[in-house]
Amino acid sequence: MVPDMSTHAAHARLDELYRKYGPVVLRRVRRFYRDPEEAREVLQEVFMRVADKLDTFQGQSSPSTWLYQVATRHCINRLRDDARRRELLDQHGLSLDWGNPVTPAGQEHHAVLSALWRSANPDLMEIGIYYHLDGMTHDEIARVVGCSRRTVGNRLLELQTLARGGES
Amino acid sequence: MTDLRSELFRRDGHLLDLALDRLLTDELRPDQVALIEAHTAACPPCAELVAQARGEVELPAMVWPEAKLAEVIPLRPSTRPQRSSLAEGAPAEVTPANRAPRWWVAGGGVLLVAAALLLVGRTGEPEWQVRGGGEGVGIEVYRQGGVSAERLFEGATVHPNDTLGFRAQATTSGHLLVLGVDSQGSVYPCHPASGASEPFTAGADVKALSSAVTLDGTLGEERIIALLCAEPLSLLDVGASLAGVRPGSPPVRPGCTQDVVTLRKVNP
Repeated sequence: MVPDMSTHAAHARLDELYRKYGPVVLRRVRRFYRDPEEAREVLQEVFMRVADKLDTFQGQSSPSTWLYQVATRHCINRLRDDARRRELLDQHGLSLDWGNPVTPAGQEHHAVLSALWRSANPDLMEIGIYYHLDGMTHDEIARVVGCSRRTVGNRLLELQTLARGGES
Repeated sequence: MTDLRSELFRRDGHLLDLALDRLLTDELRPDQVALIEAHTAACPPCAELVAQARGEVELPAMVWPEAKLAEVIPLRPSTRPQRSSLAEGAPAEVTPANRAPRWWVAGGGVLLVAAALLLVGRTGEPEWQVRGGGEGVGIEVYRQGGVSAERLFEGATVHPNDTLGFRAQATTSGHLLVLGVDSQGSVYPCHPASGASEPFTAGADVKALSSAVTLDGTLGEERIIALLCAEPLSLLDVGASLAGVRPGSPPVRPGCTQDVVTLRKVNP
């Protein structure tokens, strides 16, 4: 919802965003959802989130960076929700099925994130994905998330602790 | 200031997904573009990644819920007479004069309508009361079509692959969670898609919710349940307690109010 904009202005701006950034958001979504149909469905959900949050985007980062984060968070929440639904129905959890980047994520990294999927909070998972799967540096994660390098380091330590069976 | 390379390249030296996005959307400076071009000239996998990403992508047509709904659905409850087969009894008419959502008319009756109108006149209290005249939440369900959206009332028929959208209204602020329950008892999130509640502000406007769901092939009764609670909640918290929830049922948990729309899913 875009309460501060007229319907037509909001519609036009959203259309423009979708045309320009839809392909890169779809590429991001396909890292999480390999099935083309499901990825297209998730793409639409992401842009519905964008419609909700558009008035909160203040230009602190580039539109691509902002959309990258919105898409990542949405996929994390959706996957966690899928896992919850399956958990309710048949007690199965989630296996993170990550699309292949140039360099595939290490099996160890992949396994850590898959194991932590249900226990770590979404903020922690987001940083874990940027680090372990996207291969970002602490600097870049701090820039995308909008926090300090120290926070990124602390969050990654929390993830390691969780992976060793400790409490976050 | 972040290191130039860390904005563009992974720790293993290859191009970051995000840098590729920014390259494709012309957000990089010339020196950054030059650095990527130098890298891809020497890195066939990254060159292939860039080439693939530059290929044409066919985007699905996008329907913006707020804009689309605003085109076809009044922001205030409809002023047209509508027939609704409510669970509490015989189908009820919402007259043009009432300007009321169905859950308001459902439990209150004529006396409550009159009382509410008197209150509006005397104290400025909102006219948008909910079922039974108390505080709470109301949910509206819409079937999204190609160019329009159709309001679905209690008992309406839906089909597999129908896409449903939602609008909600509340007399008190709280945490809103809209869930669906199919005939097999499977619970799924309608809004938010995450299955975790989100803050919802009370107001006279019926607000369009940003989520939509596409129905699967499980036929039979499909219930859409809106919960407005004082505390945040998630599907996990209440999923198991929704089995017997029907229009008019007591709240599934203390501190919550709820509204239910029951649909019937059949093959076309």
